[in-house]
Amino acid sequence: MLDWTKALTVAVTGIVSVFLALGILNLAVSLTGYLFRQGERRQAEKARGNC
Amino acid sequence: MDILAHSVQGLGIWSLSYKNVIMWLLAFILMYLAIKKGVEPLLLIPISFGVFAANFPLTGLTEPGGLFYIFYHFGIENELIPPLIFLGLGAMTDFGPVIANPKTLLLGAAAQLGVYAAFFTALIIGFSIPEAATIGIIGGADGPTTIYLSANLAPHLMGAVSVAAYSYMALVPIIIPPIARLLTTEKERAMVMTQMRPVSKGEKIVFPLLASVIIILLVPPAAPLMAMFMLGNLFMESGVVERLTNVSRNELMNIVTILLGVGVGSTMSAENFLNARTIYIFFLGVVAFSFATAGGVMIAKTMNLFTKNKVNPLIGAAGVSAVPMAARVVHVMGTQANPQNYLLMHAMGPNVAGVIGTAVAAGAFILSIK
Repeated sequence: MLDWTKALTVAVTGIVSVFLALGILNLAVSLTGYLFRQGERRQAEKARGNC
Repeated sequence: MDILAHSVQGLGIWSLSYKNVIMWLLAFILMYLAIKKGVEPLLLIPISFGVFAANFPLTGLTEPGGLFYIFYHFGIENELIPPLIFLGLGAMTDFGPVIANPKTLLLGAAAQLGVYAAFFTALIIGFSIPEAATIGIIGGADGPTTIYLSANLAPHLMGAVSVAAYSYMALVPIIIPPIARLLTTEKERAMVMTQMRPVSKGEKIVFPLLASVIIILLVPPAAPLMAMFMLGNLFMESGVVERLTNVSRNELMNIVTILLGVGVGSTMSAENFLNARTIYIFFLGVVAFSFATAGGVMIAKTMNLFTKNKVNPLIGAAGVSAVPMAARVVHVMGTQANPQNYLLMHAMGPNVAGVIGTAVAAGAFILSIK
């Protein structure tokens, strides 16, 4: 007899893990991208100021 | 005289059964598909030859100490080869499209819904939970992950699930278009996406580290695949270890592909393969791929309701990993709807995100079942 409660737990755990992992990665990559772009902008402004 | 009698008795032909011959025929079909039709030849040729050679009687190839046993036991059962394949994949993957448009990661996650649709269908048909999980992962369209999960949860299904996974990966151009067309309007398919921003080298170097931290902390059993995937990518993006990058994506990848293919093929004995469950597995593979495609498209459409920068919903279909074929199929569909449309790079985002998503789904299965 199949344990449907366990099966449901396995599926819910899996779906939540996948969306959580990739969702957090989405936020982290967005944040890093923003920080990198800010850094590049600051460097470009500094270089323009030196000219 | 005794020696002669013993030698004659030892001839393989006396032990040959009709089941062996059926497995040879199956091997020849796979060889035909690989050689004449170009269906995943890099994998299907070693797999089919593995099936062919393993089904000769009295060879001892698959018994403890036998050559194929060694390939299987030390390479696959011990989970060595799939992570090495991931190392090579990492050294070939450009995460630029994902970094430029990170929300495509969610499309890669959505495509994993196919894994769970097939998981439940397999349970209803009568498979056990570990078997259903192994079958479900076919929907991720990722061969090494399928083999990795099978080695962990249901080694007896490895031959059938891996052949199903690789066969359906090759059928992506046939499976994706009707489903994607059914779920999108002509106007949606014709949608032109804005050009992606350029991604700096620094971002590309940070990405594998960031992805490792987040994914491995959340789903530790995904570590062998994720760690090697990201290491390979770091080799490539760092730009300072060209030798390691090249060996990972060329020589090492080729060697382990041979061992993987032959090892998997050798598990396909007549006893293991010739049963109704194999047919169910192939049927469930279609369920998995179809729901994976639908999941990606539907989440893309849902995302468009809430975000400013809309995406062409077709790119959601590329969340079915099968890199880069799924992205190419989506690109062609987009061009058919609007010749000005260039979706290839946009579709590569969900495509590579799908590889990460499938590894996470496999890790989650191991975490909750094993």
